[in-house]
Amino acid sequence: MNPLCKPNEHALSRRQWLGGMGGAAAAGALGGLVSPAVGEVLKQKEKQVLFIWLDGGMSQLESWDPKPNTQFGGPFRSIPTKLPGIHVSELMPRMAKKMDKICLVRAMRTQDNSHSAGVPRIQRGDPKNRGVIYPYFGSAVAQLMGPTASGLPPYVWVKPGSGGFKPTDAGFLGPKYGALAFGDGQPPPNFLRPATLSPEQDTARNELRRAFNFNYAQPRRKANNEANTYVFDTAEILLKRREIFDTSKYPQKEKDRYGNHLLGQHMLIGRKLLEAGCRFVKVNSYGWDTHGDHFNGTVSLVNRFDQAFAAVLEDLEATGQLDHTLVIAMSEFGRTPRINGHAGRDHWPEAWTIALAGCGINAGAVIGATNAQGTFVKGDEYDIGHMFHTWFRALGINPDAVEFDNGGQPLPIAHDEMGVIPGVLA
Amino acid sequence: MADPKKEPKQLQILESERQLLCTRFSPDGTHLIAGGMDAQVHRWHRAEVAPEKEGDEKKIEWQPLPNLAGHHAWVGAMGFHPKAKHIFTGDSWGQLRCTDYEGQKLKVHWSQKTAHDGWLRQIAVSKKHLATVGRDGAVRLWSHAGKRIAEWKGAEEIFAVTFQPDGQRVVFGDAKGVVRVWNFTTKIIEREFTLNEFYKLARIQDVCGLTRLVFLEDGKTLLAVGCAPTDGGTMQGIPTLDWLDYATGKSTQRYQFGVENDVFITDVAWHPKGYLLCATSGVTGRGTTFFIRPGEKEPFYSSTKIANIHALALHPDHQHFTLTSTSRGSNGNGRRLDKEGNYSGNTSPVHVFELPA
Amino acid sequence: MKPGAGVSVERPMRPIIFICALLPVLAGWAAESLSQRIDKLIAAKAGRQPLAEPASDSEFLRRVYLDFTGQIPTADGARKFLANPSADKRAKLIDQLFADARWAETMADRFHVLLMERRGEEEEWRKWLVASFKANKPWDAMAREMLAPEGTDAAKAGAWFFITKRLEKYGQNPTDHPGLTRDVGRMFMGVDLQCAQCHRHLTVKDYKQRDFQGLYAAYSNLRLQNPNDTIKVKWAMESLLKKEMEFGSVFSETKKTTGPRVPFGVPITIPEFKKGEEWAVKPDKKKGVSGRLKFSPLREIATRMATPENPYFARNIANRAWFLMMGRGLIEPLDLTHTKNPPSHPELLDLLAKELVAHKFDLKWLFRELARTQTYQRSSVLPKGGAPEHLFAFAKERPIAAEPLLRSVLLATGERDRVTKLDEEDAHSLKSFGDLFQGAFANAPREPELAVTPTLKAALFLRNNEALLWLVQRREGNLVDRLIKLKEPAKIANEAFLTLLARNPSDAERAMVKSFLQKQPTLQNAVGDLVWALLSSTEFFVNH
Repeated sequence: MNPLCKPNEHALSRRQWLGGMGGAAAAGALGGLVSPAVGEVLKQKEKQVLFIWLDGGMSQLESWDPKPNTQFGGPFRSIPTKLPGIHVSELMPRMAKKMDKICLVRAMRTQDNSHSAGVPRIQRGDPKNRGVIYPYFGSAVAQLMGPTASGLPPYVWVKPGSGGFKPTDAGFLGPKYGALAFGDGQPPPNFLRPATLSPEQDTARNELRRAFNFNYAQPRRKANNEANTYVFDTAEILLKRREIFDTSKYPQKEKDRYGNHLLGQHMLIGRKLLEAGCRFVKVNSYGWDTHGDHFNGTVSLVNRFDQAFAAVLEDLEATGQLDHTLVIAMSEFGRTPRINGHAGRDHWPEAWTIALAGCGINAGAVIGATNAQGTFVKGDEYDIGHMFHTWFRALGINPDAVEFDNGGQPLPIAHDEMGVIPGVLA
Repeated sequence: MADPKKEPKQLQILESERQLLCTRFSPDGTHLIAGGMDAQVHRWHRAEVAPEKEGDEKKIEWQPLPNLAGHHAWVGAMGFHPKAKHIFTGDSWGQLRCTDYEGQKLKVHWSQKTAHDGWLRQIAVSKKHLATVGRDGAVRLWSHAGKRIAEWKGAEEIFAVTFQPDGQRVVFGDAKGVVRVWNFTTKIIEREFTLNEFYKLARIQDVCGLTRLVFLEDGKTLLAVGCAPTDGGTMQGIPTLDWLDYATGKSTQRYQFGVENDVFITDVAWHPKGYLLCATSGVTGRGTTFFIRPGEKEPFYSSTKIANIHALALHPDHQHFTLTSTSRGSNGNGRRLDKEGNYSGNTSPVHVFELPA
Repeated sequence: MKPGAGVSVERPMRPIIFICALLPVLAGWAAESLSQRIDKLIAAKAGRQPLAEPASDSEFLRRVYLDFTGQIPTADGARKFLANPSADKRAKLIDQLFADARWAETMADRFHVLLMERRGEEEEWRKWLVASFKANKPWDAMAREMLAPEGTDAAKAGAWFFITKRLEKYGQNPTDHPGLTRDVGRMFMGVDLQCAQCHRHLTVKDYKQRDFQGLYAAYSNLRLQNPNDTIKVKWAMESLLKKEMEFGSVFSETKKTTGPRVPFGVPITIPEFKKGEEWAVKPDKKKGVSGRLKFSPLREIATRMATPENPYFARNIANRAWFLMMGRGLIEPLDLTHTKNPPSHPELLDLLAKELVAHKFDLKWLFRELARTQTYQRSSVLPKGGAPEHLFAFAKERPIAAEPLLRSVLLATGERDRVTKLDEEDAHSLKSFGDLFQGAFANAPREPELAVTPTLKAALFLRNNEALLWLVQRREGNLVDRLIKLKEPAKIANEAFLTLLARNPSDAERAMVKSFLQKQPTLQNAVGDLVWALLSSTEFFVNH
């Protein structure tokens, strides 16, 4: 390895190589606004994940599993969808038209009805207690599948509020597999090269640093220097993709389609991060915990989710990415059928719905059902452990064959007494 | 409030098997009607009951009558015909109906299945017309016979509606707190003013605080009732009454009651003795009844005994009122089954009070 | 292990011969120092595995400076040491650094990170730590002061922080009494009993539910209090313990009870008192008197845990001291000692524990003995063919914490004095740099800092942070300024390497520097970038 070789030359040759591929494959919904990087991702067909987290608990009765005109059904009507016999709440008119693209599992029954314990528990797959803190699904995928060829951080998180590095998501896997959060879609601190530093200077000094590191690491254990090199390189790659974070440059038409609100904007940034090649993109929306005034609140909440979700599915499909992107939309539980005094619904892990699409998923399938009242699951119930098995399989990972290695302690990647949910995988 | 003689006296609690929404006395004072979350219109009538002891006065009791069926989902809007013994009811699927409210054989005089596309939120009645508003952003004017006369449509959900006392204009307020005065003859919006405090965007939730618009003093003062939202999710906000000078739309007095957990003033009634009866519903377990005179800084009566009050009805005799509350312990996460192992819903007890002399 | 009075060890430990330090049994051993015996045991276990060479003078110099003064040596210091021809210069340097005023502060820093795991800072706590190391307070005394703090004694009140910080609520969680209990076991006995709270530990047979619950009986009984007239720090009030802790496994119906109990020890009987006679000093809230219970579970646990009679206690601190010096414990993980997880060098750990007890838990003595070993003084350059980590055949690269890293950066760039003089609010003040470095390099709270962990956060900080790059701009008297004045690339390379890496550059490196400097448009930028490249190199921010 020649330590003084210029990384710019590599980037250039990649682009040249892709020159012919570029934008031809991606027209339609994006109107020719596809970046060259999309071509690369398409060519690689690397599996990715879009994980939409509706924090607080979206009501299944006001979205995916309505029970209109029943004791607990609430005020809204249901509407027919593209799937015969399947209805969703009147609050989701756009997704109703796209039901053939997604798979609903309406028979979720999970263990925890609190947020502070429940959110991490769900996102960690609620495995058997082995005395370790399991990683969030994003961290697990980051470790098992690594970054894509793009070199971008494998687990990124677009969320309102603060950003930065969230190492605790990774549990026993170690902080390296934590989430890199873009608070309000903004890149992390110290992201941009200061104005006083020219790109040429930056390149030159980094080459020198690499050269010194190479000499240092030669006779020693390689691991530390490799890790160090990796994070410095990632910083550089992020910088090269900085246009993703400049939302002022996004076309207004796109912003309108996703919705000029937090979830819409963040979903759009999430899509761009997927295109750029982040392995696992988590998009968060907060404020779904409607213990009060639920039936007014849910109107704007579900409507905005409907808009953003439909838009991103449409775009992923148009570029061909949906085939190799696993899409998940969920909360930590559903909401109670019982309506409380504050005209709200409380937490309900007993019977709720998770929506899936994309890579390995049986589009247009509705798996499981709740009873006529919408109170409990009728028939087979599924826990989050089943979901994890299903997700891993959809990504081509076999939970029976693949394990985590926690410093010599082998650990199953999903609850070892559960399995795939029948009917969900394509 | 130490003097029990000055306190309203509770006379009766009316039970229902389901939760109730709007509640009103008929203009002749003989019936109490409430719309339910069970697609039904609930009724009670005023009955004289023989006294327990001979020589005592006869007791007045409100006794249940069979419900009226035929609506869907939630019956949250109602208004009484000014002359006939009819009631107009609206539901959350958008249906508007005119039915008898008295007697056993209850006739449906007319029904408009799609009076609104979805949730019909409020009904206002004048001498000649009725006006309805809904989630579809429309205001519609109807004759008492059910014929649609005029319509206005906007982008936002409309929550509150009332007629100008002379019946010539419809005044309505939307999700963003914009109040408009509609001349339904010329079809023009003559005035509009925005009550900013009744709306907040909390993350991606439009938190809408306006619940009612009520005219006072023969049309000079418009009272805006509801909540100044502080947060979405569980929803928090401060119960708010805004006295507006109707001519200018400017606030002459604003009264805010309580703290963020008290949330909404859900219903009000004007007492001819010169005060407002108000009821609030906040987070589960919180609710207040208070009486306040315009111009005064504090209510002269308030009580937190009854929580989560969703309707307050003043009897035409001005001596009685009801509070439609919610059963105790109505909230709770996760599976909570009753003694028989069933998952049961909440109810709305209706408390009947007598006002002090 | 000879059981002492009051504690009987219930679970079998590896039997070792108790050699009284005053009566040498084996003549050969009596003459040898602990350092020598350590090296013999390491070599014995390594067998045919080749060992790394001794660290170069530069490696050694930098390592001991970081470990014992909390910062790298100056260029002058490096020059002098490298030029010193005497054979015993390394031993002399160790002695010199152990006598340095900074020794106590550096040890305080390292134990702070070890014990508090970035939960927060507190002045009284730091003062107590520094004073303890300055006085060379024995570890058992330190432990007892943390486990049963005496808040009314101003010199000892700071020790409350170990407990009180863990009683503070974080996020929406309730007070984490189980977490405090767990950390007492981890930090003072090397056992993580977290998974034995609700049932017997599922994977470690040695850890039973009553091992957790007996400790929990004492620590769940605490309520956080604000400072008052007699106790100037946050402290915790013990309530009267009248009955045993009841517990049951989630796997069975049976209920058991236990009094306060050191894990694996004998439960302490809770004495009965007549009503009103439970207090030796009655508490008085109005006067701010915290009171003193006749039977204090904290005191009972502290006296029985932090004692030579508790074998886990000495082994834990010996293991942790070894870890701090070598980058890897003899038992790994540091808080998971049990029969199925034996030390990599059982005899060695036994020896360390025994000798430490014989020296009455004198930490300074132990660290000096460890510093004198060949094992500690080995190079991080691998021996031929490589080697597995657990044999200690080479020096393991260790992390440099945020604070010594900052000190080193400021010293090396020659900006320390300037920065110290600036107003706190200034973007380049010492406080601002402290916050920045902690933000970039310190772990999140409750994440132990155990190994070298390069992060994207740190990389971005080093690459783009304005304040950091300010340090490598030319300014009167700073490193960049001095280097530029040297003019010749060879001289610049020598001085830069000595200042930042405590060594001379190789010929190849000198050539790289020359080539680099000549290619850049201005010498000013080029020298700044050279310094930056060395500052952000792996060699700089790793303790190798």
